[in-house]
Amino acid sequence: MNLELQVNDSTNAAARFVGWTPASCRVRVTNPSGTTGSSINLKVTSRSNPGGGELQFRAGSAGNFASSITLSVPTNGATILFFAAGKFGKPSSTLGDVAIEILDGSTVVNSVPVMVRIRKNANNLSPQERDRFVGAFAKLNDQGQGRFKDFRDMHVRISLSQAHGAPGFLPWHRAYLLDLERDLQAIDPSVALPYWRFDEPAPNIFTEDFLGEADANGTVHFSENNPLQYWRADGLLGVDRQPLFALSSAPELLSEAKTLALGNAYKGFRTMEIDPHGYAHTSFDGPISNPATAPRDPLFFLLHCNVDRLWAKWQRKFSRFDAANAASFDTIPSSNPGHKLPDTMWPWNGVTGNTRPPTAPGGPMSGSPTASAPGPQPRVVDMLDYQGTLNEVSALGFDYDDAPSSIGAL
Amino acid sequence: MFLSGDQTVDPEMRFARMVDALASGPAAEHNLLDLLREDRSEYSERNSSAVARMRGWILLALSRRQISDAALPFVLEELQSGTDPYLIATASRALRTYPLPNPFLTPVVLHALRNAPAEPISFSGYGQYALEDSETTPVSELLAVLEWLGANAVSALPELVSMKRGNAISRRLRPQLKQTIEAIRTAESVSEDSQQNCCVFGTGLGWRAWDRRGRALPAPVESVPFQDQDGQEVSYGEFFRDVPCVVVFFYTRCDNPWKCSLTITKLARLQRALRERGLSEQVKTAAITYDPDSDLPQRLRAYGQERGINFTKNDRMLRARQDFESLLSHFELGVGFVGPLVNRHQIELYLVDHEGRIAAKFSRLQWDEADVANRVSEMIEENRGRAARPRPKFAFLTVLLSLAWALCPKCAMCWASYASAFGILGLTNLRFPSHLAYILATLFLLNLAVLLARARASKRTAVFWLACLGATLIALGRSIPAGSKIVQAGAILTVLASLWSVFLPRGNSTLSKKHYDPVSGTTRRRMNYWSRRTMSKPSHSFEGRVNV
Amino acid sequence: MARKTQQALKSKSKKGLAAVAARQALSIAMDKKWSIAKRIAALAQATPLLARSEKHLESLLGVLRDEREPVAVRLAALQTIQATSFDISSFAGVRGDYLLTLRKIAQDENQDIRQRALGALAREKDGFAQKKLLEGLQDPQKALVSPEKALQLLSYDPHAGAYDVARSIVDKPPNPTAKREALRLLAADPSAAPIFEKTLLDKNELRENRQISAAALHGIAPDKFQDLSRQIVLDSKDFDDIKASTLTALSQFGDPTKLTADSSLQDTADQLKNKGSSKLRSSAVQFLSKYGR
Repeated sequence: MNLELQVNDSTNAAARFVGWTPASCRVRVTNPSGTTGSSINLKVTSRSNPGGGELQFRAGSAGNFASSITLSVPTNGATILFFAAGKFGKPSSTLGDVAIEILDGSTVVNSVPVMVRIRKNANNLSPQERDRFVGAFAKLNDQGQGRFKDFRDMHVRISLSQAHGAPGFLPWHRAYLLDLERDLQAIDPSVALPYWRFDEPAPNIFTEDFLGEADANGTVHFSENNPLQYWRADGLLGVDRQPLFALSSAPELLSEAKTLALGNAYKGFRTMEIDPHGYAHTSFDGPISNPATAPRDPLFFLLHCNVDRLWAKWQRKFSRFDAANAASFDTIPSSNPGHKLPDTMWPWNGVTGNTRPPTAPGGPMSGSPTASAPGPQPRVVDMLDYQGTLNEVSALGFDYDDAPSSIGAL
Repeated sequence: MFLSGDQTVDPEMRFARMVDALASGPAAEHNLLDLLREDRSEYSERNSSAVARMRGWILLALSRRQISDAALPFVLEELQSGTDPYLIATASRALRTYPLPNPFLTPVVLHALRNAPAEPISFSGYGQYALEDSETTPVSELLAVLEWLGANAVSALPELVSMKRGNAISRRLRPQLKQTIEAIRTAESVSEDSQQNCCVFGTGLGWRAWDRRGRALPAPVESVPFQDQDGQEVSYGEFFRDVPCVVVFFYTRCDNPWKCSLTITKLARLQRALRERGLSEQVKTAAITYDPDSDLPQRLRAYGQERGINFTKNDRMLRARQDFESLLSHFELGVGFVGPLVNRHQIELYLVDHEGRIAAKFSRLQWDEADVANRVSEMIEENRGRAARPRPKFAFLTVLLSLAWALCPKCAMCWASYASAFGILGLTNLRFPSHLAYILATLFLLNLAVLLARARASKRTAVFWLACLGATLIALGRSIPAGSKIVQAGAILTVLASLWSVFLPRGNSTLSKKHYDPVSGTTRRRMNYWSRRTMSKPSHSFEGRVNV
Repeated sequence: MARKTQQALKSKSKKGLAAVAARQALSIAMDKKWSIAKRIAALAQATPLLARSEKHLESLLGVLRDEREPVAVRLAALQTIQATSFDISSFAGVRGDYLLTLRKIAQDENQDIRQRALGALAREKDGFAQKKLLEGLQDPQKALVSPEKALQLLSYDPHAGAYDVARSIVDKPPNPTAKREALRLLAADPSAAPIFEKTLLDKNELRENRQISAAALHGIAPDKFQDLSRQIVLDSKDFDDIKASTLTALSQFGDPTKLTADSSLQDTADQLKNKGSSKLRSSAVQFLSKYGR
């Protein structure tokens, strides 16, 4: 007997990534030889390497997850749907450190390696995770000639109003990070954007092997085999970033607990744009302290990944995934385009002129083999239900290590 | 505002002093505008901030008098595409001296206001930066322009009212914003004159065109080698031929979002517009970098792709491998450099015809894709319908004159020769009319004048000098005994010169030779009589409405 | 309904309390009688109020300008102002005053204040700051910051035109850091390729300068970069650290066709994976994982 197993509804290896959010999987018999009867009971389970990710399964779109399930699979080739999700708290650290196995009795009939790919705290990455991320990021930068230039050009003085000082601040940056992460994954699919948890000490980030260590002049040094030593942005070599706090501690800014307590409505929560977000930026002297120049520094993306994580945690805390709930967003009728729920966002919408900047670099949002949302021209509203909590097709294909999915395998 | 003598040591201070002198001298506006050319040596090796200080000082000088139509492109380009606060503020001041406020200025001013930098400005002296509570800001100067526009700025009211409600304008400027709104509301309605006298706006401003006969040959740049975004080599002569081409200049390190980045984005849009009209095979597009050493092929490709450029064999981004100076000179590019990098440049778009000749230039102001597409369509029609080139009428005339001069008897001996040759006609009975020499001399001078005009137009002066040599030999031969052979040699040279001039093409008649300007110590160009005549008549291809 | 009203009232009173707390915090922050630590802590608490009020931000700019205030308080004020600048719509009204203030304090007595102000201005490509920095490099008497800092800040704008002074500093560096920063600045100048070639191949140069030269050459003369990097890797007499750097560059940015066909380079990398420093071995392994046979 032969079976076909699809992860994220695809046999493509590029689709074999799951998070906490349930991923739709399918199994079907492609060659029924050796079977009897019109259907066969197969066990769906996983096998993890030591320290690897763990998976859980569910036969239908509701109900509890379990470490294994039994499916009755027709022998006529019809597909049977089931769901796989990473077990919360057990992310992968390498590609294929966990596999979905289909057993007929005790015989493994099919096995597909997958990865529970999760955005993690950058301070806790393993050296291999760190090196893969840094390698992919340096490749994306490609000495200033790579696709990173588009991302740099999306966040300049003239475009700041598209993403700052207004309700669209968080959705826009969520889309920005997602687009960048997808391009990183096109280089190395095992990579997920890590976050800099800025309200805690993070000495492992500011080392020569990772995001660099500053000297007295504020110039950041990298070790000789760190590809970030070739980082170039705005035509300028290297990174300047002088910490204004002791790296053994955290900068002075609002803690996570206080940030999550800024209010149960989005209007209150988004004041985090200044504290802790603004303070995180200005806890260094260097390009990262100015909104127009901040993305020159690769740290910008880890900083904003944490900002997005805080939003994700706030959303979960107060159930603010539903755009129909007024508290999930701050709708201001006089907001400029790009800051209301139904609005598409620059630059992905390609709209220029009037209140939009004169050019729209980067083109449409990158697609992903693991998520169909948010589409090539994301709207503000498309960024809210990032885990597909209300509608599974809304899932954007990323999760945070400490923000479980309410419909996932807890 | 004027400088004292002990501040003249610094080159910038010297420049400012020169500006002050020009501003109070004859032809002040003309001289000041000439100083605004980006390729002036005064700007060479000055960084962009210094260039901004220098140009702003010129605009400030212009603002102390009334500016004319000629100054408008220089002023409006700062409001339309500028990012430097000093330049925006000084341009705003200059604009308020224009004699004709009109509604077409409002969108430009509003655009500048929307994007105005916050930096305060000082006008207290050359090179001074605001350090204390400032005299003015770009926003303040722009609001003053809107107030000056009065009823012409009615279309700006909704946005101004919205600004008043929001917090984009600082607290201190709110009273002025309120005052501006009030001034616009209560101003008298716009006169018909101001609506009609807008001929320099719309598609007229910034556009110069040359008719087919008036276009310079591309000989100086034919062999300039380019490399495109894929590393393919092609020369000017190989690429710019067969069909018209839209050419823009840019560089990837330009940090002004309203210039190069937007130019290439618009070029991409133009490509789409041409495709939609079914013209993509009948026109080429080219973007040439000002920064060939840095803009290597992969950089060109990435820059173009990011802005939607569709690369084909007819649509390329180019860097000059060598001899960029020839391009600078041939296109008269409005660009200056500090070290390897551009310190300031115009927005420049050229239409090059099927023979690689510059047919039109659009400069300083933002060009409209639909307008350019229309003009390209006209050029394509011109290309299709071109007949055999009509013989230049003056060439015929000069041949006749030369032959007449060569063949007419210039002395009694010649007369006798003709008399003997034409004896059957009874010429032997006629005396040699001595006044004929004067008539012939007049004809000869007329011939020389025509040859000079043609030589200037085609920039081929050798023809004229040959004719002069012929004339000299004739005069010499006449004045010495037995000089007839010298006279004959002179006559032959004269006829040869005339025949040669028949085959001279017309050159770029809008620009005469450079001549030295004692004021600035540099050479500058001035349109001659023939150029003005050519430009004042619409060519058969274009609107032909031009400004200086 | 009553519950909703109660919640609304609770929320309103919470906001009211928060506003009062912010006002109190602001008055502490502005008052010299409090300790520096207390004032700095109060500034953070006052942030929500500052963000909404142009008037209060202007007062804070006044603290920043005031040379009689303690430096630590002034620097904290600067950081708070910069943090609020990320809310660009609230900050728009004071941005002009902020830039004015930065220019004023760019000539402050205190070096830290000068450096931070000039850094902020340089990132804005401010002509005043560029003028001061260039003057300081040309005449050390007028220098407001160290030459290496001046070069670093001038490099933020390639149009600042500091190429000539950078070249002279490469020739006669006042200190090694200044030379390094001058090289970084010159990486924007294609005509500096010969300087980078020479530096890259000079075994007496610091590894950083050689690495900057490799990076610069990759941007302005990629073929040269590939050839010279290869030469270094094959040179048995060169240092492990620069070999690791250049091998990393080749792995990341080299021409794949040439590298795959380069058997000498691959043989050398094969040897290096087992000898030399740990970084060099790691670079060799990385290279071979991409281009190894």
